Amino acid sequence: MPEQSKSPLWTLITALLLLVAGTAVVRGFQSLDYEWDFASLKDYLWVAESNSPGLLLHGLWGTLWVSILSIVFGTVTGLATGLVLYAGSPFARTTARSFVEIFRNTPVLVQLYVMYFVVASAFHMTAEQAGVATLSLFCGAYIAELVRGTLNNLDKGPQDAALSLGLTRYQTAIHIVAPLALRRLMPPLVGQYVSLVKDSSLVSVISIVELTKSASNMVAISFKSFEVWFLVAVVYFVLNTILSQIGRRIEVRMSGDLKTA
Amino acid sequence: MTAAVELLNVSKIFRSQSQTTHALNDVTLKVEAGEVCCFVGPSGSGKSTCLRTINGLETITRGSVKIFGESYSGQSSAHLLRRKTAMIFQRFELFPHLNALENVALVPHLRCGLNRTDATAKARQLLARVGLKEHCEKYPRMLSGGQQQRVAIARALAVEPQILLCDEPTSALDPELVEEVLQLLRSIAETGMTMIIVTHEMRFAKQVSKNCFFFDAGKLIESGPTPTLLSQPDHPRLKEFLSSLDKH
Repeated sequence: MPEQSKSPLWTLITALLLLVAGTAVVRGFQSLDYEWDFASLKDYLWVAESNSPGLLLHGLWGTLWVSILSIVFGTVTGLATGLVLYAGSPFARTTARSFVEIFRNTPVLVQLYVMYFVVASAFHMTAEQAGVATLSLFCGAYIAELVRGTLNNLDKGPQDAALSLGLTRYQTAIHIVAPLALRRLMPPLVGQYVSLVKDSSLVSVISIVELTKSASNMVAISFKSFEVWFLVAVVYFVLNTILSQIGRRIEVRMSGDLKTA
Repeated sequence: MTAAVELLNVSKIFRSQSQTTHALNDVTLKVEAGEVCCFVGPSGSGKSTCLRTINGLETITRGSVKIFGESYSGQSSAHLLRRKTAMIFQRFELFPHLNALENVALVPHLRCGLNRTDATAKARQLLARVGLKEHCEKYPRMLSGGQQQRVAIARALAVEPQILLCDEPTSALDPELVEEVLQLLRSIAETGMTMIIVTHEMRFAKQVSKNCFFFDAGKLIESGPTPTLLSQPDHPRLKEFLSSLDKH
């Protein structure tokens, strides 16, 4: 814990900020003059008549699989591209650099449209495939940059030591560089995953059924837009909190006795 | 008999846009097997760079480096020649994600095909030799500088090197921890190991080494038997360097 967090000044500032935020929320709701009705949303969770999952759960399932697949493919893409950026031949590096810059510096929304209307139609891909491909590449571009940065900033000392004792470059990479780099990589990587779960809402524009798409449908049916969007926000929040917690567990486990990493 | 280490007209040049730096300028030297010698000189004089060319951590621009008559032919096979040497670093450079025991056991296990149990047993024995029997399970950050350096020495000995390279082994240590490391290096020197030590500890250099090499501005200025060189220096730069050390 940093020393200053105990100082009364910081407590005061925090309290003030909370007060301002709280007042804003309360005043906002008061001026809204709206009858809240969350009870009517229960059908979207579970349809009693047919005893089957409702719209919201369908959407949740969509968000889950789109996110998980994109995280997996994105991580593979990112690691590979990051390694090329770090140690590839000049030509490979330029290629990887172009890929990273294109995907990092254009809106995902546009990427999705291009992938769906241009690339997907040429290769007979479904909307789902186009969506996952876009998110994977987008996420991969960011991860590539994280990997390159981590490797570049890694202390070269232990690598020198491993080489000086006669390990090959490959052995050094596997037994020294990889474990140290992964420890550094974990926190930003989890941040990237959390971003991706939120960005997955964008695939609704190419009509993939996930949380955001379901939410629009629910609003269209019930006109309860405030309740629906609040509920959806809470679901995203819970998903990402779980994801961050898992990440933190892994981080603690990996760092073991390595607090400095 | 071939020399353990032989450097012939070794130059290393760093080129940046604005300037060319001669990190090493035409260095020629020879270290016989079983000999302990010291590299001394002001910081930035090239002595550490010179040491690092001996195990190929630094590539050279011109000249040749030979280890028992063999020279480095390229990066891909560098690890083979490096296996005759081991190195101790100023900042220890232990593997931070492994405990003391694993630090020492890793390389013998990977490199010499020793199975995990044997490698660990050997590591335990070596850690006992450097006086760290009780600290086997500790991670580097839990050890003092002196203890970390002793783990590093055990790790170097674990690969059974023919030449031990020491790069300012006590420069990063608190004054009261220097002696425990020097003591250990002395005892290794007594076993007849070929050692090249970059050091600022002149008293230690006198005690332990037979020959001494003085570097300045990338050049090997003067060399000879340690007692003579340090007590009756010839070259004005060496005189100046030695008297600057006396002031402290």
